Amino acid sequence: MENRKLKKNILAVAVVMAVFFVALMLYTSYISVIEAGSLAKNPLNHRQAAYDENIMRGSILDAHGNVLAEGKASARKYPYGKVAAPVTGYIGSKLGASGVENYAGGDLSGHSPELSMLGPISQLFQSERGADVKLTIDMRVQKAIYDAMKGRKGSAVVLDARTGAVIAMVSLPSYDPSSVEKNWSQLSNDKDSPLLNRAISGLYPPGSTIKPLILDAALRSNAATQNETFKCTGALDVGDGHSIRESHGAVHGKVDLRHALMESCNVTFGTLAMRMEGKGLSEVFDRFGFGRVAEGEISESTQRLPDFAKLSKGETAQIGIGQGSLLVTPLHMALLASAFANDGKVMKPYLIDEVIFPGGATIKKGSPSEWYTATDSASAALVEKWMRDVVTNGTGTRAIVKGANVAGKTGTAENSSGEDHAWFIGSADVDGRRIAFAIIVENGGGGGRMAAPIAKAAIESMMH
Amino acid sequence: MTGSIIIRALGVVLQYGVLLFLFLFVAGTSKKLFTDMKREKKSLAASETGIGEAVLEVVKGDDELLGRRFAFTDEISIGRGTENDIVISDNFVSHHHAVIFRTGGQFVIEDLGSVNPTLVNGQTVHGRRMLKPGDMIQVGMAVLKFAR
Amino acid sequence: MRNIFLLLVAALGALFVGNGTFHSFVLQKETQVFLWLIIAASVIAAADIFLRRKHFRDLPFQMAVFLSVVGIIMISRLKAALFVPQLRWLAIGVCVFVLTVCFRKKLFRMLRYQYILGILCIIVLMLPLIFGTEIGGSRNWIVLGPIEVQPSEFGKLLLIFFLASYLSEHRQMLSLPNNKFLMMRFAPIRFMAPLLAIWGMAILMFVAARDLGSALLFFGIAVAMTYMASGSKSYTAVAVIAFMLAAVLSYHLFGHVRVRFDIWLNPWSDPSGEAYQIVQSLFAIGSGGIWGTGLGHGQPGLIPEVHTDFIFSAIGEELGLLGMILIMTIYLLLFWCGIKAALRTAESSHALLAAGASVILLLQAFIIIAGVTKFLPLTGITLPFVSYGGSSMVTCYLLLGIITSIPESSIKKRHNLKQND
Repeated sequence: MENRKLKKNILAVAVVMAVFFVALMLYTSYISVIEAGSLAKNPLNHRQAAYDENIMRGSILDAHGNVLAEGKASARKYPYGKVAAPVTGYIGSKLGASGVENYAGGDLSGHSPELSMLGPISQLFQSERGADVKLTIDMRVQKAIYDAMKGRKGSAVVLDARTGAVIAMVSLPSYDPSSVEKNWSQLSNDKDSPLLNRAISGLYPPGSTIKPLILDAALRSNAATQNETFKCTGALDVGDGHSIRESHGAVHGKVDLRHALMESCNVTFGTLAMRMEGKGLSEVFDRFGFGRVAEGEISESTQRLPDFAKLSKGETAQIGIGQGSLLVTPLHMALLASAFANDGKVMKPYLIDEVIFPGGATIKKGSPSEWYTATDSASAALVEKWMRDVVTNGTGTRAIVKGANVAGKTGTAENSSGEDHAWFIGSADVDGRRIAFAIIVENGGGGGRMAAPIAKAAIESMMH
Repeated sequence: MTGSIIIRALGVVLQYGVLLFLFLFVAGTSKKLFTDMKREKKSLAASETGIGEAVLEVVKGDDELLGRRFAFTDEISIGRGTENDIVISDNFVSHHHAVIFRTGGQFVIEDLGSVNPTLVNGQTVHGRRMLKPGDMIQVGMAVLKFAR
Repeated sequence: MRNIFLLLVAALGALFVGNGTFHSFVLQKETQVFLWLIIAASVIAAADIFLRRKHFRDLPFQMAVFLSVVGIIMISRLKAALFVPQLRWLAIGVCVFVLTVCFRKKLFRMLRYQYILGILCIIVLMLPLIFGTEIGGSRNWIVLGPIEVQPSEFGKLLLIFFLASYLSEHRQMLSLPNNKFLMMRFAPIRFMAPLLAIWGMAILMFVAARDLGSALLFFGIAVAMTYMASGSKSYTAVAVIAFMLAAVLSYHLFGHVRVRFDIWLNPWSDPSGEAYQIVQSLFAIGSGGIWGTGLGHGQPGLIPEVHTDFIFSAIGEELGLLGMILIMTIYLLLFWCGIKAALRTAESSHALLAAGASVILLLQAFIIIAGVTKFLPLTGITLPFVSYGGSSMVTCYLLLGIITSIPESSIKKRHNLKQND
């Protein structure tokens, strides 16, 4: 028709513009669908705080219904204060929130970004009061450990080995969550890092507590047999003029594997590690989940593992006794202990047992789930049995509790910050449950002397 | 208590109503536009054939051009430059000499400031001039007859 | 029309039930609210009847009213005090629209006076640079006693009139490649000069008035219309290169441009300072998700300037992705209607006018939506028909009037009349 060229050009421009506009529509959809979650949860997004102001925040309870936190966000009360702080975390209008206060913030305020994204219908589920969050924590245990460790620095984790439920998560020094906003600058600058949850973010050399893992690896890879005997002269030559020594200059003489574990013989375990070499060690650390981190309600720090492929002979032997460049969290050591207590299977650790609506209805329930298989049940049973011997006849006798079947392994980890860290990991049958635990007292000296009694206190607190 | 729940539910229903009516309007409008377009296409197809074509026939010029017919609907350019639709290689013809284009159902010739004038029926074209069928257009030595 | 009415009722009902500020506002100024609701509704209904009687296409008008109603709803939710003023502006806008359609012949006659249009256009754009007042960081307002006017809004109109008239007149010249330069072909300089002047103006505004949004819009229209008229890619290429050079230069010379650009690249480096607005806007859209929080149940008040530049973010929060996509679809359909009007008409100047008006509406929506979603650097500009503001409302309805009253070529008109009978 008339002016055909002009019309053609108009159409061309129109199409180009329409294409740009459609691209913008797609981009907008991307923001609303993909990025929406992180934008809504961004700590700088004050919407959650605005909702919190108008709502009665739900309480945080322990497994027996004891209140750990209650009241409005602006005047939150923490009856257990410092004892439960590593679990509850804190909430402040300027600081945001941490711990369970943060992770379960949506449930506690009865208003989650996910809920409001469902559209207007979510308003029908909105109540004047947030939901209560019931944890797997047992405050008896939490408090017993806290009291036993008072005045020291350190951490302890107690798990239900069969379910993965966290029974206690202690970290010292701690802070009072109700005044954290007021004391923020002092707390954040404190060189003892009270705000750090050592149970999941503290990284320590495991020392001798790694030996059950080395033992399991050696037996399964046929680097040694059950009845093989080793000769301990008090020192192990690892080449290049270096040697590994026993603590306190002990000489164990002729030992089999069982006694090597009971007496925590460095020479034997250094030898085992060197037999397996970097490749064998890499495989066993992988098997026992040291490459994994717990996420979600328990957000753990990544373990520091050496580059197994590049280990020298001496460094390999160091790993065998839990020294060198290996750094782990107390939580992961508790998981290691739980593997032997639970037929070689490790359950995913969880903290939130139930989310209960104001009316009493449970809307979420924490459920046990298997995380990874660390070893086979025969191997687990054997190591567990020998770990019992450690407690009954070996280095861990201070953890003996009558009728609790305590198994354990002590550790005394050399470190750069001063006196040795005292470790004790293990398991017990108490209150009808199979528990696994890991305890570390920073610069506490011997594990058998300092850490084992704390395990005993924890186990006794669970007895009726 | 029940009163407040009913009001809240009413609020929720109305909020969905907002989304619903947003959607209904957009859907309705799109449908109307689409049927409109279909109808127009049909009527265009019915009415377009044979309309709006014009022809220039070379009645005088060199052998190469003589007798050739140039049909066009929109516009056509005349000049010595090879990018023109009708190329007349003649020293009296400018590079871009003249164009004929359609405007409002009429064809118009425009002289593009050529050195030698463009003539229609012997008259010099100053700027633009309307064309009617049968007009003789002289560009340089060539003469073209305009027809529709 | 029925759906628009139901939309308004549902929305105002939801807001009233929601017991927010709108609830108390309505209870306070009952008579005023109802009076203006009735006035606006009757003006719209009368305009619709008028269009049908005179056999104009009323779809574009309905779409514009739809967008305005969405705007009214959002404003009553965001700033209840502006509810009545915005209704008043809507009524005035619709009246301006009807007047435009009535006096279309006189309006189109203006196309003859291309140079006067050009000079007027430049004068209007220069006004704020000389007499302007700075509001919200942009020196693009003129305060005349109680009224604040944004001359750039009316400058847009003059610009498309000038371009339509100038380009259709010189279309043949511009599309004839005469001068070669760097592999590209251009028309003689005297034909290019007025275009260059307009492009220069756009860049000047970019630099001097700090009105980045309007500059981008003006520039876009000028480039789009020049291409429509000439079909020459050379002009477009030169324009884009010139614009980029200007952009790079102003990035290095002017702090405010640099700040805008850096915010766009990385808003998270200073989320509570310079990037506060865009970050809040993204939070709002993110918190809305697909379904939105529901009208009246979000927190769009956290975004500054939410009733003007950021109204789209509020829509995203409370009506969700659904609302945003539906509204953007309407802009596309409205644009398409305008382009169809351009394709139907016989006169090239009319075609360019209709196309230019359509381009303005879509481009403006694009620039601000892209700005608040961080697709492009943020520039302050209103969302057509939706944002609060008189200048914007009146201009948009004027543009709509132009699109509606573009004459159809005779053959098709006959056909349409037959169908209407």
